[in-house]
Amino acid sequence: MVLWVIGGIAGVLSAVLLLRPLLGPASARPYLAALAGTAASVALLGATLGLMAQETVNYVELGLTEAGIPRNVDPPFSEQFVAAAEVALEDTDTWAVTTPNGRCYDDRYAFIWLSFRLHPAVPTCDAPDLEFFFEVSPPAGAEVLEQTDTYAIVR
Amino acid sequence: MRPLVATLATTGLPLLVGLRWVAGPLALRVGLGGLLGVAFLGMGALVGGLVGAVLPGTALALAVAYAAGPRWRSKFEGEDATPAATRRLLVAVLVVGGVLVLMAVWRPVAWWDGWMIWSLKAKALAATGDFSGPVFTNPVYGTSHPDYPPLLSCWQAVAYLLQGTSEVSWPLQVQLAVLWTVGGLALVSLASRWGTGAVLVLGAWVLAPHLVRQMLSGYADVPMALFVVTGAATLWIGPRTGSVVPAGLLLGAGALTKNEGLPLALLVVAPLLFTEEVRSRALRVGAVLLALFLPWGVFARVRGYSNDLATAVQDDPVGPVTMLARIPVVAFELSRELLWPLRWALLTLACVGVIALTRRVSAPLVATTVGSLGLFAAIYVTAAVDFDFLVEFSVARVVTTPLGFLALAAAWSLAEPPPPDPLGAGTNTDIGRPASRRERLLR
Repeated sequence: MVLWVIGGIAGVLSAVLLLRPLLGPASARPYLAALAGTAASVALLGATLGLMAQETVNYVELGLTEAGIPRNVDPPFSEQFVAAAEVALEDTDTWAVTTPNGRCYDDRYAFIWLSFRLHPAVPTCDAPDLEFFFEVSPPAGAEVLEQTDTYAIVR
Repeated sequence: MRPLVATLATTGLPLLVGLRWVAGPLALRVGLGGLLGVAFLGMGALVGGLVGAVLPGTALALAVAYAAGPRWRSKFEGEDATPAATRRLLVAVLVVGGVLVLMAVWRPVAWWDGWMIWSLKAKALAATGDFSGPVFTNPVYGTSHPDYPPLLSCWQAVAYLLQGTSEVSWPLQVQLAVLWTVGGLALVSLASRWGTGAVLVLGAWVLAPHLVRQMLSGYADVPMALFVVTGAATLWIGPRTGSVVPAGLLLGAGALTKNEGLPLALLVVAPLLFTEEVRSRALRVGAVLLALFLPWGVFARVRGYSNDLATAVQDDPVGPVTMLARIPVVAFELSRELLWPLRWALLTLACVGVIALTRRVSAPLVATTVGSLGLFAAIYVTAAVDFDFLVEFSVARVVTTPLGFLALAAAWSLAEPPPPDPLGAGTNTDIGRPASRRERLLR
């Protein structure tokens, strides 16, 4: 929010400083329309850059270096879980994931995000080699490779 | 250290190559040359990927382009003294570009399509060295749209290959920040040849808040728009001789960057085919862009690659009643987006105002603008996937290129001396004076 406001103020000031000298006493109306268009873009761009800066700070705080998230919200999986999944996956292992929203494409956003993170390991929702359970308990009797409070990795 | 090397190699080398293709003011050389260099690198990696040799293909393309540059160089004769508006807008582009590059160093592949389509394909290409890996062939990756043209992914794959890991994505973000910067420099410099008003109106597009915000999202819409709109600007503003190849290259790069890139590039060329004086140039530009698109187009068709949107239309086409019902919704959503001030500021109003106040209308450019909006409207009306979802999450992005065309049309209306002839055909119209039949045809 702070960066957004700072950016907004900087944008308005930039628009004035940058474009005011181009405003002549005899400027024709079409020219003024173009000038207004540019001034508005520059003014609002300041706030947008502030928003992007805030988003960037959020990425740094979350330790995201590979895949981000559209807004300032938590990513679908913790970095701890992704690291554990990467360690558990062997050469040609396939995988599937279950979250509170469902299995694989039932939680489309999370599934696709994890597919990017775990590439080149291929997701396979029919008979995968490894099954990840995130914030969901694994089925009773499963061969659990690793389990924490938030996730379980099952072979 | 290796990510830094990868970043410099995939942005600096193409710039060095591109500089040899453009003669003129420095900002124009850096801008247009930078875009052309990225196009060469991406196309080299793409063709290399088709034969399982991404890095050799890239190196060969850059070497050939470096050698061929002086022979094909476009000569932009410009004034040495840059107008105040151009200087100010160039500074603005450089400052914003610097801020974007700085932020990019701390950013991963940011948004949905970045990690679902473009950068996922870059990872796949870097991992297997060709386009035959699971991301392109396994139905589980169907949402990554295997048939979409992959120039952006190829550029990113080279960075992944050079840095030796795909777990660090900031070089990809820096690539995008640099692409925006060179694109901005190119468009402002090109517009400068049409005078201060043209600089302002195209500057309003380049600096539009949502365009800049999308640039680091990882989506391909803005990269495609920069290639296509700069290609169109090169065709219209560039020298009468010597702009066919760069315009064709940029439009071809746009066609290879995103699935709608090809029809949008063709929409730039098609209206000019009705003007006898420029028909042959338009045909040559069209031939260049189609020739560039051909290898990927044939490859994807032969391999049978498709995407979930296309297969949905084939499997479960939308009925005519539904289509009719969607038309007003699509028209409303597109209009609302074009006028949405927090995303596009006053861009649409300013462009329409300029054209109305000058009463100078470039029929081909207006046809390109309206045609591009019609293209997206048709896609929405016939889409066989979740219509509400598709409109809600894409309309803000797809208007980027049409708005660039609109800005170019407004720039034409403000051109000094008034107005530039269409592609060097040699006619002028005074403000307010009704154009003759011949002049109307030429425009």
